[in-house]
This record gives sequence, C-alpha cells and structure tokens, in this order.
Amino acid sequence: MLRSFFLCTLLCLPLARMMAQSGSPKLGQLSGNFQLNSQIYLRDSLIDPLGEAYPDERLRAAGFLNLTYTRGNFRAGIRYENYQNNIIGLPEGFQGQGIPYRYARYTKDGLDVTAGNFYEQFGSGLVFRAYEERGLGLDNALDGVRLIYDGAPGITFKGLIGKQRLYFGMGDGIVRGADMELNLNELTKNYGGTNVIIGGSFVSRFQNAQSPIYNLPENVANGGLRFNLITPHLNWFVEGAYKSQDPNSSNSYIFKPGKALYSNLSYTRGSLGVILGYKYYDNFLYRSQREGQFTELLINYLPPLAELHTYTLPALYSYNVQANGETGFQAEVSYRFEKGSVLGGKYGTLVNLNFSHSKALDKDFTYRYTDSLGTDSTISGTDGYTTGWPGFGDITYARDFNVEVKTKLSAKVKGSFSYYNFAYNRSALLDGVVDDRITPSTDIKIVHVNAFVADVLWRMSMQNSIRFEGQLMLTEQDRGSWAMLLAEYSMAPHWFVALQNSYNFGNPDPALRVHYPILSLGYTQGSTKFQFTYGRQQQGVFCVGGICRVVPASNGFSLLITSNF
Amino acid sequence: MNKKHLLYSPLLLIMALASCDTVDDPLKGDGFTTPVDTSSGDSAVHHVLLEEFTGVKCNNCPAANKEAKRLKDVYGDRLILLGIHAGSFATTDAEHPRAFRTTEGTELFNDFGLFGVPIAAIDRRDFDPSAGTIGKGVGSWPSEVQNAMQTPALAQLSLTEEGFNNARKLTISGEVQILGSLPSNDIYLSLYLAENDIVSPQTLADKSVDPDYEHDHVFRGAFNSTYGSPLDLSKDTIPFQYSMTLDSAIVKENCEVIAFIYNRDSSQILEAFSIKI
Repeated sequence: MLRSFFLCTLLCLPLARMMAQSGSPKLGQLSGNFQLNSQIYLRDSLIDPLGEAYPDERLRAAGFLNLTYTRGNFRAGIRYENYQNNIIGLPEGFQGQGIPYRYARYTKDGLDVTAGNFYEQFGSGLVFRAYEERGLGLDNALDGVRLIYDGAPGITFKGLIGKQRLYFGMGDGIVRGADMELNLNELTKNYGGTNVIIGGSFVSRFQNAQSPIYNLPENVANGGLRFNLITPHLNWFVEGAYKSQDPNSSNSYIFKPGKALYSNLSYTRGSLGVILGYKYYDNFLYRSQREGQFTELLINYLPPLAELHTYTLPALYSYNVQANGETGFQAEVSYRFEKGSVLGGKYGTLVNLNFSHSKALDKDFTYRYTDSLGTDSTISGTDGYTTGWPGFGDITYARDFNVEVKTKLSAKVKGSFSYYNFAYNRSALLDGVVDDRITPSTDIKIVHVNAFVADVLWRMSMQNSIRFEGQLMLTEQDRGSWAMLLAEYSMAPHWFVALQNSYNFGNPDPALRVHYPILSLGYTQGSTKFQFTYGRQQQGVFCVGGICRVVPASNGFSLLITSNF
Repeated sequence: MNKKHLLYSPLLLIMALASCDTVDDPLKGDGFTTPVDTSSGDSAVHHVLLEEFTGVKCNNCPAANKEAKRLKDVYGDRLILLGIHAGSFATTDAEHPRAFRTTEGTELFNDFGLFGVPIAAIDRRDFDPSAGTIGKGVGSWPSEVQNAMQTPALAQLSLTEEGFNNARKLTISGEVQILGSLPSNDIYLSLYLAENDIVSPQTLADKSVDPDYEHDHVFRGAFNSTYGSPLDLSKDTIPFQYSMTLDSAIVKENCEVIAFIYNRDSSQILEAFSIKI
C-alpha cells in the first residue's frame, strides 16, 4: 500500500501543480499540506534522571501529508501519516504509517454527503464533537457516513453513523447521531437585529456487553437542547444535555446518568465587553467504548470555561477539564480606554480582567460490599454518588484571577502586561487523582501562584521587528518559582531567530535549580516553513481547550517543516 | 415552512426512543465474588493466561491488580495471572527502590504495541501491534476472561520440578499432550517464572506510596527466551525440559512456573498451565 501511495503522490503532485496553475474546472483542483516534526534526543540525566525522554531510537519523526481534490461539488481527500516513532510526550499508540483518513464528499440539491472519515460538531460539543488536535495527539474522526441537509432556509439537519478512530484502528463502539438547528431569522425571512437559533442533538453509542458481573447497557445515549439569542449587543448561548447510564472505566463503572449545562453570555457596547460563563458537568465523559484512556475515543467535548494560560510559565499550570464532575463559572470584563484619556494615553489602552473558579461537585458516595463478609467495598455497580444543583463541593480544582493591559508605548512599540494570581489543584489536574479518592481533602496538593508577564514588540521597520518577553512566576509549592526571558528577532518575510531561557530558581531541590535555554531559527519561503530548535525543554503540560497532556523534560534538536500548496 | 421539514423532529424523537438502554439492576447476582464451578469431569479444560502489565509508580495499578485477583478467586486454577512490570511507570527512584523490570517483559510491552498501564493481554488475543488491540483495559477483563474460558482445550500441559541446585539453577520438565486439531503447525512453548509475596513500595490510587505493598505473580524472567521454543508436532505427546538460574533476590519458595503454548502465526495462547515450586 505504501508503494502505491508514493507512486500516486509522485504522479499526483505534478498533476496538482498543473491543475493549480491552469485552474481548469474540468480537471478540478488538488491542494494539500505537509508537516514533518523530527527530534534528536540527547541524554540529560539532570532534568530526566530516568531517561523517560531519551528513547532507544535517539531520533524520532512524525509527519503527515494531506491531499484534497476538489471539482465542482465533489471533494475527496486522504491523509498519509507516519510515526517513526511518535515524538516523546505524544501518545505512543501512534506508531507506524498508513492512510487513516480518507473521504469522498459531494453536495447536490441541498444534500451534503460524506462517506469515509469526517469531523463534526453539534452545538458546543457537549453531545458530539469529532475533531483533531494534533498537538495533543487527539484524533477522534468518525469513519462512516454523514448527511447534512439544508433543504430549506433556516433549517439544517445532520445525521451520521460510524466508528471512531483509535490510532491506526477503530474503537469497538458504533456511534449514531442526529442534529437539527433552526435559525429563526432565516426561517421567517425576517433579517432584523435580533436572531434566535435553537437546536437539538442526539447521539447514541452501541457496544456489545458481556460482563459476567454487570448488566451493562449496550446502547448509551446523549441528547441535548441549545438556545442562542443574538442581539446587536448581547449574545447568549445555553446548552443542556443528558446522558443515559454509561458505566465505563473512567467513572469506575457507576450507573448514574450524566447531566451537563453550559452557558455563555457576552455583552459588548462601546468600549466595554463583558463575558459571563457557567458550567455544570456531572458524570459527563462520553467515549465510544467503555474502555479508554486519556483522549482516546471521546465522543463529546466539555468547554473548560477557565482561563487558558498561553504564556510559557503560567501554562505550566493549565486547566484540565474534570469530566467526572465539576462546576464553576468565569467572568471577564474588558474595557478600552480611548486614546487621549488619562488611562488610554496617546494610543489607547485595553484592560482585561478575568476571574474563574472551578470546583468538584459535592458528592455523597454510594458504596456496596464486594464480598459477603463486608470487608471490601466499591462504588462500581452502584449509582456512584448523589449530588444536587448547584452542587459546589469543597474541593477547588482551580481559582484564577488575571489582569492584562495592552497598550502602545510609542508609534513602533506595543506591549502586553499581565498579572496572574491562581490556585491550582495539582493532585486532580495533573496527577489524575480523582475526587472520590482524595481522603481527606487536606492531602490535596494546591499550588498558589503569582505571575507577571511583559510582552513587548518593537517594530523597527516594515521588515524588522524584535519581541521581548519577560516572565516571573512565584510559588512556594511544587517545583517552586521560575523566571523566563525571551528575545525574538524577525526579518520578514524569510527569517526569524529566537533565544529564550527559563530558570527554575526556586526549586526546593537545589540540584534542580537549572536553566532551560532554547534557541530557535526559522526560515520561510512562500508557503513553506523550516524551523530548527535546540535546547532543553522543561517538564510541563500542554493543553488545548481544557484537554491536556503531560510533556516530559527533554533535551535535543528538532526540525519542523510545514508546507502547503 | 415546507411541512415536509417537520419530519426531521420525529426523526430525532425516534432515535431518542430507540437508542438507549435502561438498567434497573446493575449487578448480575449479588455482585459478590463467587467462585464458578470450573470442574468438567474427566475432560480437559482450557486455562487462561492474563498477563497484567503494571508498574510500581502506576497509581491505578493496585486497583487493577485487585480486579485480577478477584477474577482469580472466581475462576480458580483455570485463570493464571502474570504481572509484567514494564513501561515508564516501572522505574526506580528513591521511593521505589525496586521496579521488577525484565528484558523479556519490556520486549513484550514494546512488541505488543502497548504504551499505558494497567493493561492486560488475555491469552494474547487480538494481537495487532499497530493498533495495540491486544491490550485490554481493566473494565473489560471480566468479559474477556469469560470469553477466553469458552475456548476448547486443544492441549494439556504438565509441569514437574526436577531440581534446584546450589548454583540456584532451577530445572523444570513437563509434557505437552495434543488433544485436538491445532490451528497451525507453528506452535511454540514458553516457560516463565513468577514470584509471589514480594513486599516492596508501590504508588497507590491517591498517589501516596505504600512501603509494604505485597506484589504477587511478578514476572521474573523466561526459561527459554521471550518467545519460547518451537514444538515438534510429529508426536501427540511432547516432553520438554528447561533450566533457569534464579537471581539471588528471587525467593524460590515463593515462585511459580507458568508454561503455555501459542500459535506463532496469531500469537494467541492455546493452552497454559502453572505450578507452585
């Protein structure tokens, strides 16, 4: 198969160039993109005493090539992936090579048909979201059939069936789903300033059950209703969902149905912006098979509704959604002080204030004995626990306050200055200790952090700019305090070079008060980019949208190539 | 609005009604660990090997091991447990002075395409290293073991301890008696050593470390390499004898020897047997 794939690629690429150049509608268009990430690992016994980031291969590489052919209403595509073996820190289940993603799609008479692999989302994702996040090693694409019908203005119907991707194989469960959305403005052809969109979605998973202990449900359903009010100044989205009994390895095989509520309200008027969010997730992890770990076979997605740290040091403590049960809220206020005002200065100033708090649910656990002597007990095979609404428990997962000020310091210099104050439940969010195993709660490791970030960009000319980043993160817990400096020089449109150094000066272990320098060099030619990096990477956590993976400390060279045509 | 579009709503409703099961009684029986009747008169029965991949730093592994032992209580001698310490959680540090790694165990972990623990291979069914499908999560062990138990016994194995000398050389002999039609001519025999009652630190579910954790069925090495030796199938009864020198840290009296034959083409184990020595 590999040989024929390369043969096809060799034949297709010149054809693609020809088609792209001619733009002939008769031949159609072929487009694509390519990525290769290669790393050479060096042994660094100081930051990695166990050699977790020093693989036997010494050099690993992972990459992919996407090819998409479009002609009129028809589109088809494949993605070849290659992991020899996967980069350290990404799921090791991705090994070897193959074409795990291929599809054909056409649109005719309002009907949009996809056969093969596809990604899709219903509403906010509480009920269904199949997507790819390569940085996390998450790919839960469906392999099956999807129909989207836009037969009338304002009504969209989606239906799908298939199995989910599990590395180079498939999960055991069959996923069936449907979604309908009504856009009242379009439906009534009244295009005024206010619009209402309502939707309903339903997904069901089937997996054989043969447990000698439990009467497991083979069909597990998840349904939700959503409402979105849009006015010129206000946007309110709310979605509620209910999941039928879903005993699985992540919830300790409890038979309690799941509930979820997610709401987001935003208001903007003039210089003021306000966002208020609320979440309530009760036993709402949903996979397409009962057994799964990390990001495998997730059917739904739970919006984190917590500040997602993007700067290097605060991002060492990023929020990881606790799908077995959490509740919380987020409030964000932003205000732009106009230029010429006292706080706005000569160029104007934007101030963002953000506060979020996520807590465990207040659970009253239910146990059963596993033997007739009453010597051992478990929550498995019971409803697990009872909880009410609003259900705020005693355990805090994260409490985060931060303020960001963005302003221009001169015509050529602009800066962003941030302050963070947060408490982070390391036991739950990084170590994976679930709340029913935290006894007593005083054993929880909470990290209290104060952090400061200054990010300044000096645009010296149209081609040349330099960016400085200074970060200071103070904490007495975990690995202690850190400082980081970064300087990045860009010569548009081709070159950039960056040097950064993180220093863990407050580590409780004096031997680990070490520097983590990283040098990066990038070159861009058209739509192709090469990036070479050498350095020491600290152990951390990489998160996208509230889903995280732990990245071990490593040392070495890396080469990243991205290209598209 | 065209009335035909109202048809969409009942479609959702039909799906909703048709697509979930409600379980009023989650447990089969009383939910207690009740031994099943594993006797089958004079006829031979299939023995299942559950190879549990684990690690001393894996906080979810003690619960998995408990589940494996519970299944052992259910199925008795017909279920053979082997705890293979491998992967990144099977490493030493100041709190975990022993990790019980073996060359053979690491080779199996890598060759099976595994990457996380706890996970188990049950009779090495569903071998596909690119998909890692041989590895079964702890929640599926009861059903996977139950399925494996339905396999007919195609062979019967016996084991005898021949001797243990001053050089700590342990010699085991035995026989493979072929009972039925084998799925392949490429059948291999493996002999493994496991040790019980090892007291050594283990990380628990709450991330604390129990310094006095008791490790059982710990894989300590292979008599005839990771993947064993080919069987001469020209006879119905095949004798064998293998020796292994035990490391000084191994307490021989706490050990058991596990023998199994497997189909080299599919990797699936056809029959297993174990004795305490």
